[in-house]
Amino acid sequence: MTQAKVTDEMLMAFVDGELDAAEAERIGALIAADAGLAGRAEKFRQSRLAVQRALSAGRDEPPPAHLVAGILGTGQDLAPRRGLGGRGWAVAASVGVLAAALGFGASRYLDGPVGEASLMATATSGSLLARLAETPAGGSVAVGPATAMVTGSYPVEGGYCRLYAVSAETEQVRALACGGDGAWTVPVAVLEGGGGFQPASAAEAIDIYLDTAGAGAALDAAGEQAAIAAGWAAR
Amino acid sequence: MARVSETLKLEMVALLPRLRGFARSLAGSAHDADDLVQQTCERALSTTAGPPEGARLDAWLFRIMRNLFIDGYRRKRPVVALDEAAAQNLAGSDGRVVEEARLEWQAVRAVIAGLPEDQRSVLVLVCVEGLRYREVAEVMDIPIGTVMSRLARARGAIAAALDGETDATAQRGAGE
Repeated sequence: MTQAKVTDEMLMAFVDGELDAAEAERIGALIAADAGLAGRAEKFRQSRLAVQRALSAGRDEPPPAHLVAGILGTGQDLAPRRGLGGRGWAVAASVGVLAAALGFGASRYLDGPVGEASLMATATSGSLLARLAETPAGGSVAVGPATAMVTGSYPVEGGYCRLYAVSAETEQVRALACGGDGAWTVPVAVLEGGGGFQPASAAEAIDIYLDTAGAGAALDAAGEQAAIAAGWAAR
Repeated sequence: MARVSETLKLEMVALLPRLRGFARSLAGSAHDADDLVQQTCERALSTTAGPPEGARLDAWLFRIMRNLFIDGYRRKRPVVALDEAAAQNLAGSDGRVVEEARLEWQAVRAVIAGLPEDQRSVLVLVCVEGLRYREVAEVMDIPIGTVMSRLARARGAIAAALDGETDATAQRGAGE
């Protein structure tokens, strides 16, 4: 019998797109010619969809602030907290970061997607840069339908660079604002499309720029506060 | 070094919803799941190297999470039940959710919750997280053939539950 030659694992791998082209073609032809096989394959397809439906609930809810703060460190130096277990996290949680800043959940409150050009324009506008200059790392500001969050500040030669992300419904711009004294430029801004994990291209571009600019370690909360108070005056 | 991890941190924050999802399938309650996410992030940030060369960040974090779970959580919480809060949240956020779909979720979630952890993890990593079989094998330190046999068994159980849902009057004849 044909069915005996095709195992459940093979049918499942076919449905999951795990077979190489030749094998997929062979199994596809067998399925097309055999209603019994087609039925078995369909069960694997349906079960995958059903598991997706059953477990995707709640996945678009914004993560709790303490988890975001725990990762970002909210501008404080993370290194001393490492290995402290729960205590370090409690400190981080007390800072209170807006979790919606990176776009989860926020999307459902938006009117619609922001166009590519306009999100980039928003992310690099002078008015946003001025507002971000008054915002410490971990803080976020709303810009139209998008949200901008500062994630770190670095001393560079002759001034500062600040890392931030501007997120809209389906895309995000990650950028560096560099300068100080009321004059900011954006030497690096990378647009990332929506959907899942992104390759590290933005991260790389940003790192390369920071290296070139001779950036030091991130400012801690106190250092950042002082810099904000001084209007990011060149050091 | 602090700088390199800044960008890694951003990527980790972006992965939080998926980390929480996998954690819930492991740990049962939403509270324990978030504890597990927290520990996973903490562990990941405390490594000096970050993910190994060529490894996906999500797969690396899933691996850390599952190892932490096996090391600590399973001992504390031998009975695993999927948390219902997530389903209720979704139902609450979308008025169009129909009762039929909720019944299917409940049936499917009950089957998933009843699976052994090794089958459940394979199922969630493939069907929900979209990992390749090869990537799941790396996350779980098992051969790819084992990934496939566990996945096929779990999917069979799901399919049986779906049959039960669509044909509610049928006797539970094919008891597998």
